[in-house]
Amino acid sequence: MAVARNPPLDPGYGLLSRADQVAYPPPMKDALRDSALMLRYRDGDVDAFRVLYERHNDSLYRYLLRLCKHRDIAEDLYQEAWSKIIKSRQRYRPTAKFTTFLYRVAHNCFIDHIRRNKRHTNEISIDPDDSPSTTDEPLQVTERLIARERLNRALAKLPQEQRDVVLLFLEAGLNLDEIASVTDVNRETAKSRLRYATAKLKAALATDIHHE
Amino acid sequence: MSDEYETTSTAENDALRATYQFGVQEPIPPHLDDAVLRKARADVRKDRGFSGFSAWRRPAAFIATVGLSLAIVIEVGDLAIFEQDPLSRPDPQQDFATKAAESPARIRQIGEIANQRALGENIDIKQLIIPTGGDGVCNDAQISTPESWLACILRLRADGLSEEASAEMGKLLLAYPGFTAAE
Repeated sequence: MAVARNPPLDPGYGLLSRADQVAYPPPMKDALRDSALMLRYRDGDVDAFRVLYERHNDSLYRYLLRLCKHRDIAEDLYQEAWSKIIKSRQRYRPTAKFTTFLYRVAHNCFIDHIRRNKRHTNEISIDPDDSPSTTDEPLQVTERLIARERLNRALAKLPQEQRDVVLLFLEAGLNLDEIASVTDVNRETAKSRLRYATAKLKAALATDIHHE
Repeated sequence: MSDEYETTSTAENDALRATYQFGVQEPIPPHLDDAVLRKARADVRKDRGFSGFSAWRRPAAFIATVGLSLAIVIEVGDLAIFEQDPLSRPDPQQDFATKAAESPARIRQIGEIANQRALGENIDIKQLIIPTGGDGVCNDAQISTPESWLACILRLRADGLSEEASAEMGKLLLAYPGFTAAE
């Protein structure tokens, strides 16, 4: 069921008049915390892992997809990241937020991939997903496709480090300290990258709106 | 100075996030979900298999250790009993007589004496104790008197045959206990 995670806001881009159809799950307030689920999985509870996985699978996939801009690579990195999470369950200690742990693993997988393949191309290779939900109105579908194309273009223009922090901010919902921890930089560096990235993203989206 | 990124709920950033979330709708391919969940299940199953193996391996190792320890204790106990039995220890004083008795020639001689006894002959008891003939180093003539026997012993010593000389001296003292003065 598609429900807005955040209260509907109109940022001025003219896209959020039907925010109740945003495809993000509601927060699981009453559910077990991620770290508790991970500990249960460590003790052999596969169902706990399934719940944990389903909380984070979509956002982690989108993070990697937007970060590396190649669907095949993103899928490989996604599987690699989860494999590491699965393998590390015996050593897992809930000292930090699970989300921080998860995205740090994924971020490191991406960095390793770049090191392995020095010639990381900047071409966008994300196939457009033209299979909209059957319940969506044609206008909504069009709006979503336009918004996605804008976002793809805006994100693709960002330097990799800025794209990384802005995705951690927007997609994973991490705060500044968590972003610094995931990307292994100090807080000021993370803050600087995030400020530049969000400014460019806002400017690019606003410019696109004016051009259309 | 306020930090607009300290929290995730400032109006500007919320607006940007909402736009981002509205536009982004890439569904995760089902085969990825299947692959990850399959791996998660397989790893847990592997752990269980390993722990099952451990479950019987530990008691087995314990039983094996106890068994081996018992075997070692029993072996060591047997050795201790053997060591503590005074009857089983060889007596140095009996060593000479035993060796003499074991001599085939001596056995033959004892047999002959027994036959002679059976025939009513009078046998000198010294013949039962003192090896004679080719069995000893000193011959019969030399061991006929203590003095000649001693002379034979001294000659053996002079020839460097100290072991043989000692053995003959032992026989001499056994045959003639009162000969210590002469020595």
